[in-house]
Amino acid sequence: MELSISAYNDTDKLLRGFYAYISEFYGDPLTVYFARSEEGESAADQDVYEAEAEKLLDDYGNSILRLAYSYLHNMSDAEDVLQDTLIQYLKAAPDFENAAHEKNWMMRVAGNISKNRLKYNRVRHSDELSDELTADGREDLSFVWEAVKSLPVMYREVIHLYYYEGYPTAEIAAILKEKDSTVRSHLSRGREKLREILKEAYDFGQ
Amino acid sequence: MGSKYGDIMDKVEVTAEMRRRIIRNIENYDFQRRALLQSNVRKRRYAALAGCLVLVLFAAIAIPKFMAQNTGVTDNGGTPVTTFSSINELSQSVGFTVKDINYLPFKVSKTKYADNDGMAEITYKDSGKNNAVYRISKGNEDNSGDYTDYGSTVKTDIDGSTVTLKGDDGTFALGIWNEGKLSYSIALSKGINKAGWQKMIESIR
Repeated sequence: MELSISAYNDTDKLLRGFYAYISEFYGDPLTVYFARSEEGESAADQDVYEAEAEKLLDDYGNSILRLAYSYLHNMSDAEDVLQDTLIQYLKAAPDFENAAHEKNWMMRVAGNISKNRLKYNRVRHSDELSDELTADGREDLSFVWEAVKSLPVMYREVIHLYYYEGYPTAEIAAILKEKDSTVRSHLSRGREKLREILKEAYDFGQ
Repeated sequence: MGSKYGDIMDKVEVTAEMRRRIIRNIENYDFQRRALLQSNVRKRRYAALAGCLVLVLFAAIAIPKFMAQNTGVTDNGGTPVTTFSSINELSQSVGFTVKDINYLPFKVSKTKYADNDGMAEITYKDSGKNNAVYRISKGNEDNSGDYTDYGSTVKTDIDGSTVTLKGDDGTFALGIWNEGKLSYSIALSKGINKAGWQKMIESIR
């Protein structure tokens, strides 16, 4: 029997080609073969993801949704941002020292996703909150909301995190990846602009 | 705090319906992480199967001239295509970092990672006829292999790169760009608009 390098190479090519051919039509045979045995593991993983997602929604759902809404002024877009943030979290599975770090991470991701949407004008132009406030006869709130909405994004995000979420400026700086001095400056200018617009209705404090 | 602003924001809440939608979408999301978590288990299994394949190879060598004169099915005239179960394995094989596209204009049901003679090739398919072929290779040549004479070609800046989009009737089926010393291309079975391309390329993480 004559065994040569050439025969070996040709055999190798033949098998590789056959493998690629089978893969093209039926999927990678190894993957298909192992898929069945991994079904149980996948189902278990999926349960873990769902349980994690439920917990994240309980813990941070409203905060993320509100932050996204403060950027986008649209509930559908804010919901998308919330969902994308949860997916990013579940994909990255980051480790945190404590719950505060975890929340900061999620707020940063949600903020970045929201700003990306704003940057590329993919936001839907409706504002359920304005409609709701007007329908409730809350003109005072509607006035405040319109004033906040009119601020540039860099002021708006700081105002939201400082006044609504109660973060100190140093933590806002960490979330937004900005300098503390920049955050304080944006906060001050944001307040100034709100004071100009709202006049006696201004209630954001010093 | 701004109490009125607080009153306003309190109205923005995760509703039960919203919660159901999000959980359902997450249930249907194909997490790459799952593949990573299982890669170690898979590697052990693959090693065992690789042993069997070696035996098969040597058995095949023992068949003399028949094998040497095969009319075998090779691709690209014998250029080896090696498939992998994860993007990390593909990155190791091609020698540069490959990242997944996280947004595609269809629901991905199958992903194939392949090293096509040094070029990374990821094929995403849905359960129907939609697919996307994402290629990354060294150099600055168009690696798409798509020579269709499209009616429209535009250049647009996405994520810091100038992307050439090609298509017809307001939609684009092919996008090619360079970044550093690498060439990238995405070929879609069905064209999408410019905003869709922007979202898709930005999702490469």
